[in-house]
Amino acid sequence: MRFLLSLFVWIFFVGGLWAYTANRDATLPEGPARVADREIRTGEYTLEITPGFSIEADPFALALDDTGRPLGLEVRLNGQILEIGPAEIFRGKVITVTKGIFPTIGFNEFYVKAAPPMSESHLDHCVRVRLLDSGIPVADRTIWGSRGAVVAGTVGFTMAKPKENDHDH
Amino acid sequence: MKCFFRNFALFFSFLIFNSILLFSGLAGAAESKKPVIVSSTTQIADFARQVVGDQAEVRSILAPGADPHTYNVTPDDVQIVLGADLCIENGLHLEGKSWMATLAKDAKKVLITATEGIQVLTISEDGQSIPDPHAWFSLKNAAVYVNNITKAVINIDPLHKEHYQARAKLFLQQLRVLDAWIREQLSMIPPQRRILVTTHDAFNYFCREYRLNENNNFLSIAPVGWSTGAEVGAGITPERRRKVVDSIKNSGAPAIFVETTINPKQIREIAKETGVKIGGELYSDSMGPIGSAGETYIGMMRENTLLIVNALK
Repeated sequence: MRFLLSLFVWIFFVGGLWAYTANRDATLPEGPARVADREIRTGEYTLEITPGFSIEADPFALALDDTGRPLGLEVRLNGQILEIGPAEIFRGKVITVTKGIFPTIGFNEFYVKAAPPMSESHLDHCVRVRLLDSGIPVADRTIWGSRGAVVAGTVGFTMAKPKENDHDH
Repeated sequence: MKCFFRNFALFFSFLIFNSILLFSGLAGAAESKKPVIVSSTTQIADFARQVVGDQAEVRSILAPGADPHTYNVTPDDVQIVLGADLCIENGLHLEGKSWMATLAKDAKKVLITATEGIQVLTISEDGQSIPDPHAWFSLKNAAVYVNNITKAVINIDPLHKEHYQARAKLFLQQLRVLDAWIREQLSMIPPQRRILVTTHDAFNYFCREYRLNENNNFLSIAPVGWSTGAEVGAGITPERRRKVVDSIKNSGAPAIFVETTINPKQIREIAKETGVKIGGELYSDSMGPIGSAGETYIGMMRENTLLIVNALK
């Protein structure tokens, strides 16, 4: 009887600990908390991307069926992929993107990833990224990639709230 | 008697309480069971580990240093495959007598071929065209392996799709950088000295991709054929051996290499006969043991490249 009692005391503690560790996160909410959308800063935006190399399909890209074509160029604004025309992308040719550019008030971020051709893996490469609002530069940065690596980086910029109209006059 | 019943009631309620606790714990553990992926080779196991991280268990049938061409399955392998959610083979007859496909079929498990979609290099042996199974020696092919494995893993565990994709993208970028690094390193060897002689014909993709063995149509030079087993065009023949000796004498190879998975006796004899030094031991059909520089695919390719460059330049 003492043996059984010891056994069940052991089971009580071990089982209790097991149950606790297995279920301790059950009461936590699933997924991240909902974040309120930020106000979009209206304007006439143009994104200019100028690669220092001819972009080719990347043989080292993840090419799953539902992620679209394994393009050599990927651009995101605040996590949203921007559509880039199917035209070929050459060294020095400016790629202009106007669709889908909706920066919000506060901090914004472009993510740019471009794959230089494998035949130029012995060179360093760069991509210039400019955001213009009605022709005036808002952000301008050149992203560099060392030999063989894809050129990838972020361009951050902050949009202030538009000034209220002055009603005194 | 009254005391007995009181104790018994106490004991019984205690038993039920414990059972509930224990089974709730077991249920929780069952819910969080990780998928099990079983691969035939160590290279495929490493690719899978890079993609799944800690979200799945990856097991390799072959131990580091084992030869896939001549491997004989054991009862333990059957048990491992019985517990698998996904089986992955290299294919192209790397697994002699298709032992991985047989294991998966007998256990009624999902099997994918990691080399599906690669540009297969065919070699002519005894009047027959034989697909070379050592496709991982081209980094571009390694990217195809990773893509195939990622797709298959997402199919069995779609809940963690984004994790798998993110890890696969990182690993593919590492492979891209490694590819550029290998080209840079090999460029230090003058083209006329880029002669790679190994124990068996495992380095065809490597030679073709990185332009070694110009005199042999950028294919590997070895006394033993594409397999160490008994398949067509496999094993060692007197003609093959003579061809290798002549090739070394004519080209003036600075060094020849042994492989980690194969007995080095033949290559040592050839080295003695031709007066060429042994450049070192290359990882070929299997990666290195845990704790060695070649325990990962990237480490294996890095160490092989450094060994070749240092011996030939």
